[in-house]
Amino acid sequence: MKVAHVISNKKRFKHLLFRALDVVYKRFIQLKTNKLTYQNMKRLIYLLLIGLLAVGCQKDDSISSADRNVVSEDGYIPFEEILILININTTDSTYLVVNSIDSVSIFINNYYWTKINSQVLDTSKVDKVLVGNKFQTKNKLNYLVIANQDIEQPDFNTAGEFAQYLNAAYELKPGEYACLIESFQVTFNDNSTTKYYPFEYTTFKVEQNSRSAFVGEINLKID
Amino acid sequence: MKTLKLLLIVFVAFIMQSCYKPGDIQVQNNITQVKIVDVKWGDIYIATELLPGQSSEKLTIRKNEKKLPSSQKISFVMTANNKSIYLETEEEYMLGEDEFLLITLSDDTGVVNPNE
Repeated sequence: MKVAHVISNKKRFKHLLFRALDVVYKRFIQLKTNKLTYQNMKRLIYLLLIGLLAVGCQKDDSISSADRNVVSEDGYIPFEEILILININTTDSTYLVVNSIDSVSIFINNYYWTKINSQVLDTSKVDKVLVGNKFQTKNKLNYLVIANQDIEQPDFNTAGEFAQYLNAAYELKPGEYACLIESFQVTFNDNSTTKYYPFEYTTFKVEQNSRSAFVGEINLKID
Repeated sequence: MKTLKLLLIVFVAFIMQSCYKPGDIQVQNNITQVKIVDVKWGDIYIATELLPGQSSEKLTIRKNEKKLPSSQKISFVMTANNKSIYLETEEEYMLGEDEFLLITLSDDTGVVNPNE
């Protein structure tokens, strides 16, 4: 049925085309234009017409490929990040006040997880005192660390190398894990920076189908 | 004479516009141990997800989607172990009118991440 319909449309089109040519032809005779020019034109039109008839053209539909192929994803929730609250004691009763704790190096079950800065705190409203080059407070001050696994962009060139790299990434399945704060860095009031190595372990649990896990509060000490 | 010229222009325009022949494209994922998602040839969606060894449906590229012949890169998100990375092939793949192009992505296919 569809083929017949297309053929019928083609015939109708050719018929209209011939009629149009006929009209042009008659009009040219009436105008008594240059005969040679007209004959050349006539030949050209016939050639175009033959070419047109020889080529079978398809009618395109307008459905986009995206509409045909896009399907919804399943409901799997991949594990993405661990959350840690870190506070730093300068003495037994005072806590360090800085804008952020930098370069916190985290290992999960002895696999390198990431090295990241804590979220920046606005400490302007914190009741603090300057002792040496450090601001200190008597109120506990927690710094939030949101730690996604650090997957460095490899300098790889082929799809196989990237695939190998992704498969090597450490996946946190549901269960208990040990989180190690290997090192961190702080910048004091005089802009001097010091790196510390607390090697502090804390355990935490990863639940089924959760995108993050809360490691808890970790208390670190510096001199 | 003006009418004749106009008619000629219409003819030429008609032939140029209406004689487009679509091309077909298909992508196969032969990369080990990874699935690839959001597979595109240029900006044209080829497949939502291809598991290792799986081929996409043969997709017809029509006039309203891409003018052929055209040479485009394949882009996709490689996913394994709950980790994903966006990649583009280094090579461009040429599809002409009335042609069928089978693109096999393998471990040896050169790829880049545009952020590199």
